[in-house]
Amino acid sequence: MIAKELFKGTIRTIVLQLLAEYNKMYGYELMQTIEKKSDGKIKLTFGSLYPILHKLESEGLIYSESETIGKRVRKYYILTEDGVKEKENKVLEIKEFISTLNQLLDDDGLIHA
Amino acid sequence: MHKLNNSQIDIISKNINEQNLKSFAFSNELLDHVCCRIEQFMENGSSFEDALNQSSHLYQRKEIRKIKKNFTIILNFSAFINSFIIYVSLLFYLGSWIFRWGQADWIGLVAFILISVLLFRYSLLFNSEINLKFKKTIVILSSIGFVLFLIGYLNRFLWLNFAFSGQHVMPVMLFSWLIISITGLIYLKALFHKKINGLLLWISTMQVILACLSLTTFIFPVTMRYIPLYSIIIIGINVASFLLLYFLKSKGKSFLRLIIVCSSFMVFIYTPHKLLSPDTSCKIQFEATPNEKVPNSNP
Repeated sequence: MIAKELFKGTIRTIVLQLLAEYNKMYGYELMQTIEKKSDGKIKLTFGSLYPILHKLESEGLIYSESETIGKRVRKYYILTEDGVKEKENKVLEIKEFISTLNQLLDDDGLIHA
Repeated sequence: MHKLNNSQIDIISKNINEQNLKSFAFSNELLDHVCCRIEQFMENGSSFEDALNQSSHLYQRKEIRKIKKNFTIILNFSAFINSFIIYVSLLFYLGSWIFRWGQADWIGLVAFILISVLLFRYSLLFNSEINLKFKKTIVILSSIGFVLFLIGYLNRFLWLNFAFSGQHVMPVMLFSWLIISITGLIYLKALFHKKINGLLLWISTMQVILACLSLTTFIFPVTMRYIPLYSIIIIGINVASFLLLYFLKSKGKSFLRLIIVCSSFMVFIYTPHKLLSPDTSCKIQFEATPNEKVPNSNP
């Protein structure tokens, strides 16, 4: 498991990236996909993922479509055009950050990948 | 994938509702989330009852409290900061009145600077909003409002403490109130298009009307005699609006709250300086200090 503090600031970008990849997803599906893709190293909870989805929606980066399944309502999230742009910028930013981090930690001999 | 039937969903829904989630705006998503979880357990061979038990921690009261807190922090952090600044500035302003009876002292200056910072912060927030209609207009107007508000009070501070010219202090400040209140109205229009909450619209429109009313005292000097009445009306409406906003759950209310605080600040520094003279015309009465630094003049 990766410490929550380490990936906290990246969840937004991860969500945007997954929505770009899968077109439309609902909350539980996103959580499961993140867990699966990270080999169980990143586990999100309802309380940590859904507020981010709502925040992204209020910022106009994603929008939602509701679907009734039996007696329950499922909300699918989809990227907007602004969301696509934001995703591209943020992914680049994070990649740059990771490479800087690697550089810094490598120099100290802390990473031996 | 195993799919829950309607009676199973009813049981889950009943269990969740028993946790008293009336004020939880995300109960629909929570229901779907719990259902998915249970379906996953059942897919792996658990019975419905076992799966329900294993998922019950997701909607326990304690868990919901944690989730609600998380929602508040992530979704309303900015609003929380804004409210914090408003209340701190109100405290400073109150302090200024209690200790110095509204004189342009340093405590009062801090209150006005805090409110100016918040106005500036809103200009930046409006600018960073994506898909905000009339964005340019809103950003320009809120920036002008911020500059006028800050200049107005700094001018007042220098006027009363360092004998600078203070002829335009109040017109500048009241004009900034008008600009800020118009910004509030446009912002609501941009946020909600045609479906503006009636109460928000009323509060916002009242601010524009009250700002105009205050400005009439400069355009039509005869209305100066009504200043005490105006002040009572403004303060009354402001207090009522502030309380109504407290109970209202809607986007845009924190900016309205800021407008109300701005206008209240102005009324409290404007009114004491204007007292009715015996001949019912109005003259400016500066701070009740024995050695007045500034001569008597109309703004």
